[in-house]
Amino acid sequence: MNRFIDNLRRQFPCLGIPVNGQRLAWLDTASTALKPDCVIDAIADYYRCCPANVHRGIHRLSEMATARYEASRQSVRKFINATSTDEIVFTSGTTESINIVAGSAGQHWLQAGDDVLISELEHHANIVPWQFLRDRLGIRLRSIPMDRQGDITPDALRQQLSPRTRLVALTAVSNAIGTELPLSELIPIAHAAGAKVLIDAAQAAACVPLDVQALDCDFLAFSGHKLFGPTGIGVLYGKAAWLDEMPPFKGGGDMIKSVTLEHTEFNDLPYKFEAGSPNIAGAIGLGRAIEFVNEIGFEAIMHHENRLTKTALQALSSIRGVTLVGTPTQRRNIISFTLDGVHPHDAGTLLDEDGVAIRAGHHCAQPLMQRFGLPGTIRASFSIYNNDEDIEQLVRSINRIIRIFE
Amino acid sequence: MSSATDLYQQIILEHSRRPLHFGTLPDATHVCSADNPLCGDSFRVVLRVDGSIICEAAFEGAGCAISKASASLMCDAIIGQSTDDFEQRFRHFQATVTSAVDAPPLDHMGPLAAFSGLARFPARIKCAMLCWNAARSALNPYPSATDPVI
Ligand SMILES: Cc1ncc(COP(=O)(O)O)c(C=O)c1O
Repeated sequence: MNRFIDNLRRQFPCLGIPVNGQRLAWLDTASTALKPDCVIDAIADYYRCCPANVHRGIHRLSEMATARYEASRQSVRKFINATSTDEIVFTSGTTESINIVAGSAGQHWLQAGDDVLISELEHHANIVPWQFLRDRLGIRLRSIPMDRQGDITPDALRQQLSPRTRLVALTAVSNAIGTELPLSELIPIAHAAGAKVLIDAAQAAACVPLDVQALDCDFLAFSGHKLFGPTGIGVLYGKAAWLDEMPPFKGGGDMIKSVTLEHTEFNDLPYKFEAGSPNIAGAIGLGRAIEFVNEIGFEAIMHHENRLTKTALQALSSIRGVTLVGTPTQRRNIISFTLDGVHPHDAGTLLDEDGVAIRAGHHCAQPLMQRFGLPGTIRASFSIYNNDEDIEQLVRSINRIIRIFE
Repeated sequence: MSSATDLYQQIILEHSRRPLHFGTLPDATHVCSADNPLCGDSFRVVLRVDGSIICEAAFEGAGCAISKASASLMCDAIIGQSTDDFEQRFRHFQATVTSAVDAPPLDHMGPLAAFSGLARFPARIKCAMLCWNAARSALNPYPSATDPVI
């Protein structure tokens, strides 16, 4: 395994560049993942060889670009096991994907007095669009409380469901404390109550296999950049029947069949939701990133990340002054903690000096931080390119910070 | 000064642990809150100004070591000064923490010189300026559009 990881690490050019004169311990994958050479090359190759627009050229380069763009859509379809590429909409990221559902499906299906249910663990991207909708349509936005460990239980969901709950929007993995939600239990409960379900898979996409048919979720959103792909590209999956019913979100080129000055005939799925020239290089990069993940396989990814997370948990909890924030039943590759008497930002600055990149702050999950009564935490997250040395570097640096603040 | 460790000198740690002028003033004439929603830092700066003299200054709230120490040292530095002096110190402090080169610590900056070197940590400049900005808005609630704002 070690040789395997060393080999992988060499494919991430960023890991070879010292930071503040130190070896880089990138423990901020939950914010964004590093990019392997193959993804960087795929993007550069598009710009070098066929930097043409898609779906609108009759020339060779546009055909090449279109073929690559659509091959990526196919890779995404397989990656989440959707039935058809009609169900795969390229967006700019998770945030836009959720905004499309809120703005389009919300408008279409919801009316004043209906409930949208989220959880207390959500990222702002899965809170704010629903607040917009609440203010626009007069829906009620309710949230499922987490328990003391940081879990969202089936009972907690049941208690918040009402006959007016039309949509339940949940994260698959909490970016702030690492909880993996028991989706295969939660989704059927929401469906039984007549609600549709949106899954925010921004964190989950790179660390657990996703199967939208097995989950039976109605919508699923994720971002390319947390999956070793570029920023500015993401995916909205929606069941074809729902996407068909939903009005388009943005108007423009590519999303139309025909336009007169009075009337527009919308394009078929998924193009109805892809107005304007898309992020072609981004989609191609994402497609290559998915292939990269497939080449490694989730078995190896999960095995490695579980082991690292466990090692780090043990190491951190044995340091006096470290308090773990959230102790979920099923944790993924994320650990949040605080240091007695040290503000997370001060810790972040000093960790950075030691080459350790973590995230300090509220992790775009302020309601969750408020529940814990904290302004923020220090968050370390692990990926396939991390190793034991990274954890040792983290622990050494934390011990040094504790000494400075003593 | 160059490294982050240098930044967290004893003086900054001291003032963040046991800040001076921490609390409120019953007869404050000027009040302004200082919040950095990005990191949750939240302070309230209160001043008692008599004529053009800042007779008392205090702050309360919670935040990182940099923001707290900066507030503590600021209060200490401006008590007894005129509002014009405050403006001069404000500009000097701002220049010190934002200049890309390590500004040589100037004698009359006193202990505030501990913050020279902060310019190398752009993400933390806001922390150091937080209560300074609040005090300045308290004194001058309608700054002219040309005033630099960090
Ligand atoms: C759980 C979760 N949801 C949504 C997002 C937003 O993703 P993006 O900024 O890529 O749109 C993130 C990213 O931090 C996240 O972790």
